[in-house]
Amino acid sequence: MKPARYDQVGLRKRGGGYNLISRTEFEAMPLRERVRLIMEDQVAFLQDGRIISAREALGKGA
Amino acid sequence: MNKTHGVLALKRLARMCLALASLFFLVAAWPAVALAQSEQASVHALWVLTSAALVFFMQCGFLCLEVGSVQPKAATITALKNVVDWVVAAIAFWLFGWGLMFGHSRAGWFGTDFHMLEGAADGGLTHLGVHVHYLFQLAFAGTAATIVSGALAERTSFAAYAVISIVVTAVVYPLFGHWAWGNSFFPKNPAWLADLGFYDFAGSTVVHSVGGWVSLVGIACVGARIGRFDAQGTPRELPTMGVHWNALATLMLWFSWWGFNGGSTLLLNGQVGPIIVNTNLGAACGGIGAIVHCGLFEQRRGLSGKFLNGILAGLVGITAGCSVVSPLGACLIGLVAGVIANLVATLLLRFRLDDPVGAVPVHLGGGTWGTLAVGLFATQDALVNTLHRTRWEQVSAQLIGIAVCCGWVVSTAIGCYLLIGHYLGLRVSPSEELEGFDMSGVVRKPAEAPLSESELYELLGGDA
Repeated sequence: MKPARYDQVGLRKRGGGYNLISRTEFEAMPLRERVRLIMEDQVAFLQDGRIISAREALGKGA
Repeated sequence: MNKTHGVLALKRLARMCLALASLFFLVAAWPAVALAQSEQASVHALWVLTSAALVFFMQCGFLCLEVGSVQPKAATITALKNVVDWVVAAIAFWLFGWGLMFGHSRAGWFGTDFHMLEGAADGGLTHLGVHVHYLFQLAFAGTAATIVSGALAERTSFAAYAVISIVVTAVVYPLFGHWAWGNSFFPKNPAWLADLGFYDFAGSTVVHSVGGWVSLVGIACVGARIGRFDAQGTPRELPTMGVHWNALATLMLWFSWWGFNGGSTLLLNGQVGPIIVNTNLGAACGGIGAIVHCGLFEQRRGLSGKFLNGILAGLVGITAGCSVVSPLGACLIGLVAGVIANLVATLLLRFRLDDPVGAVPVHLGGGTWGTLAVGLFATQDALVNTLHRTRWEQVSAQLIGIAVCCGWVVSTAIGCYLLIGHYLGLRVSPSEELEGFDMSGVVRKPAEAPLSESELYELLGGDA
């Protein structure tokens, strides 16, 4: 398994827009909440400003 | 005595002959006169119909402009949104739009009749007829709506965008249009902004600022594309389809603008030539203004895009006053419009507002400036004979029109976006935004299978 590689996370706001938070802030959220957000497609992972897939961000991708 | 009677009789005879001859010529010449009038009306109608076709062609220009400004993954959906705009406009403007905008007015506020063009053949601009007038004005309504699609590109859901497009073409644009242009088809109609002296010849405010304000509220409500700004708010350049698309689009729009402004006379008369010359000069100087400003004050960042948007801002800027300013005035209006487009683009980035195509700088910046410029640059002759106001009275009337447009469009747009956000959702999901999506909202081509719940617990548990 590759190490996770993202530096920011965008949390989808109700209605529109994203709240950008750091990786540290995201990782401080409860595990169950993080899983729920990803399962419901409410999270965007970013690396160097580029949006990447959850699989790539969490080190499960190619 | 007999001689006098003879003279009088001759005079009577001469009068009778003259009357009969007049009658004869009147009867004989009437078909020719009627034919001439009919031919003249046909020429006017032909010109306006040709102009309508040119303005319709602007949809192709906007399509290319937007496709050129978005990331490749979003090109297809962006192009389709432009087609949907026209479909929506054609129906909504026929159902309600034209009637609200040009029907018989209730106190200058809204048109009350002729929805679906029913009965509108009676009265009005007889040399055009209702159908030609509808087609020309429909092309304008489509333009107001399509401006918004570029600003909201890449992250707005298709359903949300379709609703916004319907509201703009069926309500927002026609109502403001009625206040400013409600007397265009029925000249006796009251149109309260026009009656106050507000002058917007071909729509710097009525068309472009309306689209610009809806775009500005939209980009604030929908938010920036993911990755457009970093956590510190510094903008990042996202890849686009390429500036050659924008260059083609600019020329297509410039070409179409000859009809946009030139056709707004609703007649083929001596005004048309000078109007098109002014339009052309405004565009050229808009490009020069933007490129010089960008070179001198912005370290040539994004020079190509700013040059092209400067041309478009020049076109938008000259639209309100192309019939009342001199060619030199048109050049100045264009120059300033190009600079304003650059300044507004910079301001948007400062507030982290993401406008992929530059709709707000071009249409709102250029449109507001162009509307104000009518008062500043109208020739003395136009002030006396066309506008019937002093320069400062005209400037005041223009400012009122700008403020009313802002108040009406911003308030309705905020309400509309909030309702859509609550009931439909304004924005696509992150995975849709990552991969691009189609009209049904289905992700275009998932790069990889989504992670399962157990995989997520495994992966995230490790770093918790």
